[in-house]
Amino acid sequence: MIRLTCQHCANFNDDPAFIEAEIPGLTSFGSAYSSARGHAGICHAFDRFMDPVLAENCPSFTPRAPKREERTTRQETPHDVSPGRE
Amino acid sequence: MSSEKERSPLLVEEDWWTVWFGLAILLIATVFGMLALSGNISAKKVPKIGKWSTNPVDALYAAKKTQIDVEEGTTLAGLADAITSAQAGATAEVVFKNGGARLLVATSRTGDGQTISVAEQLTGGTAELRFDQVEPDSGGLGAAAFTSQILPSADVEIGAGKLTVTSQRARSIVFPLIVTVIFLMLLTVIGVRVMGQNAGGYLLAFVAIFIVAILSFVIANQNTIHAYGLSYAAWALLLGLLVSNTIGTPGWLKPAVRTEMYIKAGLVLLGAEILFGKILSIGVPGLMVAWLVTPTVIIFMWLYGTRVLKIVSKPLVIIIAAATSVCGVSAAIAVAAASRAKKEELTLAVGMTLIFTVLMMIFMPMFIAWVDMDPVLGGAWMGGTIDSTGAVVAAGAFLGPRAEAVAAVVKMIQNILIGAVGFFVALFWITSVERDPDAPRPGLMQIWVRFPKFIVGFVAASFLFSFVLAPLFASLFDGDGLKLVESSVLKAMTNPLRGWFFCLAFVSIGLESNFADMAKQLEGGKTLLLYVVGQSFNLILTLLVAWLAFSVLFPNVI
Repeated sequence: MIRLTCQHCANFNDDPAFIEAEIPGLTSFGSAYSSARGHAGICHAFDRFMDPVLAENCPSFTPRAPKREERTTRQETPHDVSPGRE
Repeated sequence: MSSEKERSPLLVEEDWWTVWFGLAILLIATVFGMLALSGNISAKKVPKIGKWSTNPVDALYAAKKTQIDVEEGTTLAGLADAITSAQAGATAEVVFKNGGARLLVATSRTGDGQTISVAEQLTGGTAELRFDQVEPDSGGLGAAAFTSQILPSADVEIGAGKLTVTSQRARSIVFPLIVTVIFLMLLTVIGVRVMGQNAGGYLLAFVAIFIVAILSFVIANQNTIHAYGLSYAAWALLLGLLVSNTIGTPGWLKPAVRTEMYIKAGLVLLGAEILFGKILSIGVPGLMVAWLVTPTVIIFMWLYGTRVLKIVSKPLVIIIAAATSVCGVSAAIAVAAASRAKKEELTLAVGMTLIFTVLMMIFMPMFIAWVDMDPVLGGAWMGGTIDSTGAVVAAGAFLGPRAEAVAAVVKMIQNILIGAVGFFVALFWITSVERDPDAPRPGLMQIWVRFPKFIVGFVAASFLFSFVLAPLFASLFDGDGLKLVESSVLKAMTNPLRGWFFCLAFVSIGLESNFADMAKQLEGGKTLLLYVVGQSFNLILTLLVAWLAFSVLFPNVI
């Protein structure tokens, strides 16, 4: 069964190029392509930099339009905690 | 937006690509080394920029060093024959004058800069040979000829030892330099392309940055500048800073400004130059410095930020604490995700760490040199305190190869903690900060996910050198395996390529460091106070533990 996570959400962006553009100075002594980032991305709904969480725990989950090349074979189980502190 | 994570981390993570780059280079260098030792091809060397005095063009030529073994009982006439037949770019003859004989060694080539230099390490015998320059060249690189003192006859036995003839401007390195830039560009662009970065833009930008790197080496290799100890690292940084803080780093250059990628690839290659046993011997005191101080500083800064300064944004406190004590931006990213920080909080922490990283990278080696601190202790201190790996290597390079190696190893040991710190912060956040009893705990797998994989490459390269290549070369070519690998693989190829990777990284640091932009990101008040107090505590504690570990408990590790 496919477990929907932030990575299937229109509000979540984990594209390293996008993250580097959004966080000024990140590329000076770091990289969004590095292992340190893990699977983290930016959630526009809550304006947070975070690891993906399960969609069922997020009130703002908005399914992303599926892309042609999109595959759903992820191995990792994300934290199923709510994304925001509000 | 998320498709990149659906592919294997082996293909999308920069850390893994730096491992592939390093191991591919090691493999290629090994093949070339073996072919050269077996006599199938001539020895291939990655070019290093040459020394020069008044004419910078000299830097684009390699000198040829020929060592002549002088056995006991060799006469002056015999030595003359040995030098001439050594094809060192010089001829030697015994000249008779005033009833005595002297050895005249002259360049066998003609033209501007075609000079030689002679160095002798001869002891014993009837006479100790000493040489003086005849017609020194204006560039100071050598002379057209060297002459010995007058001896009673050509049959006088001179001391045994070594005589080195260096022929200046023996061959141009322009073509090998072009081959090197194309090789590194094609190798790295594969990773850039597969990671989904701008590969087209990378190609041109890489060449431009490589040219700045060449320029850094050329300036650093000017004899007077070299004597003042201003290394290529300083010039690479300065040239980059000059561009970014005057005209600004042009957008077209940015696809190849990848500090982390270059520094990590260079560190993987550095692994091949350090014996596995040596890594272990640096590792024990390194563990003390990195793993004792780091958690202490994080806890200190967390308590200071939340209880004394009472900073409202707890994610900001923990991000700054992790960035200060672990490894700057990388730790900031890991901990920001673990504490689900706001984008602005991460941006502020990154800005804060950047400006102090640059300042510490420049001033710590200056201070260490000024107080005449042992470079190993200085390297360990910098490795444990300067926030980012790239800056640590640059600062270490200012102090020399020993400091550079120790600083890099200590920093890598500290880097190992990124995943663990991310994991424990996530756990702490759920249980003690947000206190959500229903929230499941983060998986232990997170520790491996965030583990800086280039360290695997560094250790693997050292292991290969120590336990695979050295025995293999010893059995194939009958000799000291370590020395054979060192001369045919490491010195010929991987060491100079590491130098180029590091130089590209230092240029990139300069190009990314715009002081006006950094100042805009720097926020005063409690946040600044947290960083300054925390970093000061880090500096004092790390120096104390580094002194205890590297000077008292485990001296002479390198």
